[in-house]
Amino acid sequence: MSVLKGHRLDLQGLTKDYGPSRALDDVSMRVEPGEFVTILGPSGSGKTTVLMALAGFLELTTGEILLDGRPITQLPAEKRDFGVVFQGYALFPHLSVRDNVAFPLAIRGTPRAEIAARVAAALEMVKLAPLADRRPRALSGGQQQRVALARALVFAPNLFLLDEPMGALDRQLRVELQDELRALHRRLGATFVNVTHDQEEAMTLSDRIAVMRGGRIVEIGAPGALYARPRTRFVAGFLGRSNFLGGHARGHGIDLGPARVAHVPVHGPLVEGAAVTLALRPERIRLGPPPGPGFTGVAGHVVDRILTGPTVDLTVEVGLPAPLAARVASTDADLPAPGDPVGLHWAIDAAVDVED
Amino acid sequence: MIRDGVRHPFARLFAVLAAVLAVFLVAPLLITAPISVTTTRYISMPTEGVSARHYIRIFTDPAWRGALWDSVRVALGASALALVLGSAAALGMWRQAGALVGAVRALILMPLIVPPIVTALALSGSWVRLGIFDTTGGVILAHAIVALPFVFLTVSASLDGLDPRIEQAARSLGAGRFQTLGRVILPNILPGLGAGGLFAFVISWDEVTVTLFVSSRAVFTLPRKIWADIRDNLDPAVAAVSVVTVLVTVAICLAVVGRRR
Repeated sequence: MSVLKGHRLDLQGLTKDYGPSRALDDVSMRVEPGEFVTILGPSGSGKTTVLMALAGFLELTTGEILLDGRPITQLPAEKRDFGVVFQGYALFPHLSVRDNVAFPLAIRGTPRAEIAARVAAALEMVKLAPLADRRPRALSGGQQQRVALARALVFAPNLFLLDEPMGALDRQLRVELQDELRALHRRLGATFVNVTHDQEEAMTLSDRIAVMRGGRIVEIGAPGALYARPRTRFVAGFLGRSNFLGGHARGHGIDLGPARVAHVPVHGPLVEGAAVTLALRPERIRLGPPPGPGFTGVAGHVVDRILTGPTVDLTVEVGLPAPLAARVASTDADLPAPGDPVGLHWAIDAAVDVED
Repeated sequence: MIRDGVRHPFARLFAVLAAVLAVFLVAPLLITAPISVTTTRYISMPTEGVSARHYIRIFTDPAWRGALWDSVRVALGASALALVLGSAAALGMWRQAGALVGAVRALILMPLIVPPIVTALALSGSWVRLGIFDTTGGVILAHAIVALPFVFLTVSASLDGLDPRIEQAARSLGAGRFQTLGRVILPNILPGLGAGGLFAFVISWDEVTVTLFVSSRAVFTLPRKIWADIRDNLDPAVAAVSVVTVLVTVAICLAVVGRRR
């Protein structure tokens, strides 16, 4: 299969109203050619609505979709030539795996010999050649997912839309297929737009993640940047876990009430006395005395300790409204037990001031 | 699982009732079948040998042949019409909700709900006014209306088992609306279409109430002819026709059941 060149996609002010309720509210973003973008959000956030609008199954109230600069908002779904992988795969139950994959080529009037060759190549790519004569219902979930992928890529689209492609699979299979999807993306060079509620999948696969909530894009950025420096409390809590500490800006620190911690503002200067919420990742917390200058912290005592495997999750009561979660390596010597006093410290730029 | 092996307290009673019901349903046939092969020209049990004369007559006598032909024509026309309209309605209302859909659904199912005589009266008056009373087209249309709910229900049931996303999948893969219908939707509901069509045929083939009200002389279906003959003279040909009618119905019902398997 030849190396394809991805399309550029522009979403401009996509808005969709269902009666009085607004499913999409001014959704705008650009997806660069060959980029893998994931729209991440809880159910009801509007992420699938965006994908259905891109695929051409949804009439927008307002807004424009551009493909390489040309408006395609009015283009019917069958003219868009996007490879769509649906939630639940939507394979054709009356056709064999081979005929499912051949469908888009047969519709386009491709010559028989060429169909056979391209279907064989696509099935080879997803490692399903031996099952070509089976019906979809005789396949496992993971195999069905691969058929859906083969069917979507066999006609060489330059843009893929994936709607919860791993939704119905168990964890191990998900990890396996994520690796395959990454390899496929590298190999095809096509543009991918993926929709999921699984933050781990989003982090693993994407060049950029757009986090949605209530029909709006809350934040968009590279996984590393979003994880390390979220702007909003929602993203800090949805993309991985965070402790939230509420206080007020005082000098070079934050007054938490019973305690005061040093802080370097991440998103620009803070107004003296303003209410501030800090988001702090459990794995940024160190136990014991301050490891050196440039650290800040609080003291408390352990109330719970859970071994997760490579890490240990500690719950520490520190006299704030909520206890703090700290995650440390399970190989750490002398881990404190419940009831033990413990000091918690983090680098002064490790906590992130987020909007509520 | 737990229910397996635990018998319903009234299981025995139900079995007896079912047997009684079966006897009541089949018993008339046990009388009709022998009468149809009698050698006499009047209704009697075949005491002096058997004869196919009444069967030969219903296929050679112009009046019987005409009725047979009318029934076949009407049943084919009505089932085809009901199949097209019922399937189109079921497809149009697939996974749709709302007051309008509910109203249309109720309207389609109306002939199943109201007593046949009410439907018959309503159609009779309307057909006279429309000028299609006692025409083959009029009877076909009337039968199609009566058969419509059966097609609508079987096709709707087939569609309910189908993932609506396969329609979107077909469109995303380049198929237009009609290609999607022909290459994806219809092949998947073929059993439902077949069952619906056969049901419609049987409904029309057996229909007498509405037929009596929308036809007089020009269109004379088999059930009407039987009806008329039973009232005038007791001819064993009626028994022969009954057996043929029952066999056709049973054959079609078996075909439906067979396809469902």
